[in-house]
Amino acid sequence: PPKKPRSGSRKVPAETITPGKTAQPEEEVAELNYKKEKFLSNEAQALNIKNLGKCRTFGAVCAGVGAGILKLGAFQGFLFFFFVFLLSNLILMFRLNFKAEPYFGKLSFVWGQGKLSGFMSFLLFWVLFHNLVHIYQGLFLFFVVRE
Amino acid sequence: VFLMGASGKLLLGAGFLVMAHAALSVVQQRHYVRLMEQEFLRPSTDIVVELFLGAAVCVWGVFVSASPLVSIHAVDKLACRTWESLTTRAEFRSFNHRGRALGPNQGGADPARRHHVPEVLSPLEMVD
Repeated sequence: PPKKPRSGSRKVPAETITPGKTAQPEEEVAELNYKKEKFLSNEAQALNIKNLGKCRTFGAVCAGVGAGILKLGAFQGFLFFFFVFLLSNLILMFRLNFKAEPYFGKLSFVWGQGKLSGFMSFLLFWVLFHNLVHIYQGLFLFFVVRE
Repeated sequence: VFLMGASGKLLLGAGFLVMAHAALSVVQQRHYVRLMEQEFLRPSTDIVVELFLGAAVCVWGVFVSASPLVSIHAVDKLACRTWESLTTRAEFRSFNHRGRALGPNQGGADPARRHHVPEVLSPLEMVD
């Protein structure tokens, strides 16, 4: 069976201490920390991962638009995709205040999961906007092909 | 409600406009280079910077306008449940039955004597 933590570790923030009462006993705090670590909600995890995937896909779309307009080659385009992936991760870190524990469990999960989840969307929009801007010069929108 | 989530959508719109402007600039630059009978290799530096900024603003707007993340600790949700909610099956409670028609004068012939029946809420709306 999983072992319970020692009573010496306090990880629960001061908000759990209600005013007018004494501080929670060490055993209760340890019990709460143990429960927070061990009992996770699958629905919430799935919601968070789905949300993250949606954000990453949209970021990949923006990256594809940028790569297409910049007329990037093959290798440069993939570099641009990974650059936008890193940028989106950084923005996520700033929004989470660098504390992924209540939302994803571990920070490393955010960096390691879904590196190529939006790659197909990136390819689609890369090719689309490259043709739109550099080959059809934007007139494709009006169904006219310039030769 | 539209204005409350407007900051993310404004960022997205602004980023999209910046990228559209960069695309039009590239098209104009291509046209100019063709008129000068030169070869178009890559867009100029200012367009590149504009695109990077536009992409960054778009990505930022996506994370601002995305739905909020949910805490995965089950303790937070379980601690809020009341004792009554553990043993109830609200979906099985029936409030729409034929007794409604058998109430005061509902089955009568005279429509003027039939009283207005209040709207019945669904069981899911009644549970806290």
